[in-house]
Order: sequence, then structure tokens, then C-alpha cells
Amino acid sequence: MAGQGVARRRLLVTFAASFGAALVLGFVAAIVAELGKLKPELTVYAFVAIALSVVAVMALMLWLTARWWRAADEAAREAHKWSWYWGGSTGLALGGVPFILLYTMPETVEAMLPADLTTAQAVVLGMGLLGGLQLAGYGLFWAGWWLARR
Amino acid sequence: MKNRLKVLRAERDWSQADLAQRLDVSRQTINALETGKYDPSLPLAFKIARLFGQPIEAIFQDED
Repeated sequence: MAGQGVARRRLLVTFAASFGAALVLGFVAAIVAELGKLKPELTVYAFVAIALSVVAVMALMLWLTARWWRAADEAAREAHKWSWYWGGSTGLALGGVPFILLYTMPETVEAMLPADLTTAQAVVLGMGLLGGLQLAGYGLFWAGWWLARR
Repeated sequence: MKNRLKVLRAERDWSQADLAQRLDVSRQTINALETGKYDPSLPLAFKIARLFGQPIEAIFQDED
């Protein structure tokens, strides 16, 4: 079994390579998206290219995460599991507040949002808010787990 | 759970980083173990026992 140091170095190299690959994929997707704007007949190809690029990058990140997880020791894994459960759940619970408000009082919430907000932007905002709250909760609980065990 | 990790480590004049390297865990994990704020899994407890050449119950004591 490789030591923590060796495993960490291997992981860093893999991460750098994956990050580079993700950058290239993102760059290609951006070019295709711009081409799609310039030539409307290419829009469908741009849509598919971007979707496939995102799937590829996410698959790469998941593979990278699996390698990182195998290299992490048991306390680090426990910290992450605990933080995802409690921090993620807390973030999700907080995200439920705007969700319920939006569901029960849509007119009031809509009045608080910019008038020129499109449906797509509103969906992105909602998804970002929920994901952001879960990530923030996860980060706080993770830091708390380690601080409590110093 | 209480343990004698710090004493056993000091007897061998090992730093937390030395012990971490021998057990293939992080230094932060060793610190959490020594302060009794993290209980190791059975495989890690056996690994620690093998490293110090002592039975698990000589290293870890249940506080009940």
C-alpha cells in the first residue's frame, strides 16, 4: 500500500492532469457555444457539445474523487461523511425556506426578484442557491469536525 | 475512549508525523486519536497494536 505522501503526490499529478483536461473541454465547449450564437443552424450541435462536455468533465471529476477517497485515511473519510450528512442536510433544510415561500407565496417572492429575470436564470439561481447552501453547510461542519478534534 | 498512544509514541521518541507515516494516516488523525476525540476502526486499532507489539486492550481502554 502506498504511503500517504506518495498517494498525495500521485493524486496531485492526476488532479493537475484532470484540471487541464477539464479546461480544454470547457474551452472547446465555449468555442462551440459562440459558433452556435453566430450561426443559428449550429445551435443544436452547440447544445449537444456543451452537454457532452459537462458529462465528460463530471465523469472525470467523479473518477478523480474516487481516487482521492481511496487515498484519504479513515478519519478524513469520517469527517467528510459526517459533514455531508449534517452540513448537507442543514443546507437543504435552509434551502427549503425559499422553496416553501416560493410555492406558497409566488407573487410576493417574484416581486423581490429582478423584473428582467428569465425563467432559465431563475432556475439556475434556485439550483445555485440550494447547492451553495449545501456546500456552505458541508464546509462549516467539516471545519467544525476537525476543530473539535484538535 | 482513552488510549496510551501518546505515551507509547513518546517512549519511542516518535513525532506525530513519524507515527502517522508508520500507520499510513495523516498527522491530524494521530492528533485526534491521541486526544481521545476519535476512536479508530478495528483494522486501524489492530494496525496500531501490531506496530507497538501490544494487545489492543493494553493500548485502548473503554471509559465505562
